[in-house]
Amino acid sequence: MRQGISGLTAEHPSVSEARLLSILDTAVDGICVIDETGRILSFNRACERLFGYAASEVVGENIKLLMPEEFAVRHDDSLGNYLRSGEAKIIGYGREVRVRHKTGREFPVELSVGEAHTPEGRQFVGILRDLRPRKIQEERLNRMQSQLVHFARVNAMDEMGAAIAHELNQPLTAVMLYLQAITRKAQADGDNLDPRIIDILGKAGREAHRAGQIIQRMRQFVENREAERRSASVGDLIDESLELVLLGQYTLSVNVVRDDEENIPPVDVDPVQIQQILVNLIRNALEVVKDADERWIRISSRRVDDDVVIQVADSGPGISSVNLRNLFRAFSSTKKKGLGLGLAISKSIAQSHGGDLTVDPGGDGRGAVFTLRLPLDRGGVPNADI
Amino acid sequence: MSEESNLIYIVDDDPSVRDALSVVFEMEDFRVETFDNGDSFLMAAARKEPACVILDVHMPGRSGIDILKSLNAEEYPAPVFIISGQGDIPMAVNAIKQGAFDFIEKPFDADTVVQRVRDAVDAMARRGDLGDKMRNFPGAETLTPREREVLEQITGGASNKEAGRTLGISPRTIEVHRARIMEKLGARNAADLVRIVLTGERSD
Repeated sequence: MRQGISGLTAEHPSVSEARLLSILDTAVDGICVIDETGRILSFNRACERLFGYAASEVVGENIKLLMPEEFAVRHDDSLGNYLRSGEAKIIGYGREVRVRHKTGREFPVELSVGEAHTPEGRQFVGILRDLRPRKIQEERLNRMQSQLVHFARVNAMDEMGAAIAHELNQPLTAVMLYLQAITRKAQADGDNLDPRIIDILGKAGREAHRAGQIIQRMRQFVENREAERRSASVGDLIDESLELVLLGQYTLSVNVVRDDEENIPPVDVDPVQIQQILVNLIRNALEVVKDADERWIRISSRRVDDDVVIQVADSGPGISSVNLRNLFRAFSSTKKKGLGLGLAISKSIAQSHGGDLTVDPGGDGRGAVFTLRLPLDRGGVPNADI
Repeated sequence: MSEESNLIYIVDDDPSVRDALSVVFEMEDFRVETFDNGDSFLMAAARKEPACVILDVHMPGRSGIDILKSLNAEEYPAPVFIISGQGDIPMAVNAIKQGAFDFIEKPFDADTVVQRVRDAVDAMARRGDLGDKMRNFPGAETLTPREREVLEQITGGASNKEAGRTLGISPRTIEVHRARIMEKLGARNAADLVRIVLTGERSD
């Protein structure tokens, strides 16, 4: 039955040995003890689960059994080397190694090794932590992050085009209107005007029109990249965005508060685009509370009529009225780095989803609150034909 | 609230677009008042009733959609044109659901915008009891005055184009209203819609 640490417990277990036994078998991490020759003396329960061997199968065997071929061949040497020279390569440090399951499958663990001097000679205690769950998580996050980076890059290009088109459209519209106003006036006034002037006005108008068409084409090109709409859960969108922002922020001293209403129906969105908005808002919020006395951000979501409302509030100083005027304008960032497209893009993404992005600027000791409003997924309008 | 039959309100954050539109409409003998933000427009809109409103939907600060909601554009007597610089349909559809009369895409020319405004003003003047018959069927109370007008056109056999011409709005806008009406009344198709209105029977 339970003879897992028989090597340690040759005689009747004393109280402290019983306690040790219990500790070993309760540990979540694998714990394995070997002697100077690499012979396995003890193999706890977690090790049994990790490697697929019962303790009875491995106790007395060489530790090389648990190693991939290429490490196994070198292990005797390195053990011997250490015993001779006392030069520790692994003892006292934790490191990532690959080990071998009973089935032959290899997997990563974090291994730390300690040393014990016993009457029976030196023994080594290895503690092994399975890295597979962490690896899977890391890979998932890496994938998400590179997807976001890629998307942000493609999107920045697109949005830059859209922003330029939008910004140029304004003066161009004014130019066309002015030209047409003169033309209409000239035509109304009749004969008094040199016909060449009317002719030139016509040409100028056509050129302005041509410029407008170029912008139109540019916009169509940009907008051709179809957004991939699907039904998505608001909670998941926030979770993933938060995860992306917090990735690598180990020293975060900001309190992140969540407040999500239950049972919010799904929204019909391009999830990556909406994540981009949320990541943007959360990053900005973390940035502004950095130097505040009180440091928190609060992300809430709730249903309001036919919309889902997601709010990101912060404990920062709020937004000054000077900055507020241009907040959602392209190329207007007050930050030193960046194009100032973030909020402009976010607003235009929200609007192209049939929603909007707005802000309550706060101030006077109140932080800013950004509100992202998205229409609920209502399964589309009924079809005109059956 | 006083009524001003040749007054146009222009709401746009871009000063040169505001000015150019003013020049065009003033030359057509309209009176023009301009606003660079939604709040000052809303204040003016509560005092006086212009013949028409031209509203840029993409403004920093309060968005055009938000302004339409505050104005309660559905019930506001003057037609509100949305100008959209980015041509995105979901936003335009949303604006119309919020009671915008129609939308005009940037860049536009003077002839178009003047013609559209004149048509709208004329259509509003003709409005009178248009759509009044559209009250005696289940779900009628859920429709806006504009939707009732569109419904009357549709059930009268008008095409989107014809209905648009009568009501002074574009066929695409008629399309938006039609989808919205069918959704509200639970009609599966145009024939179903006519049946609901004429017989007073709900679709099952």
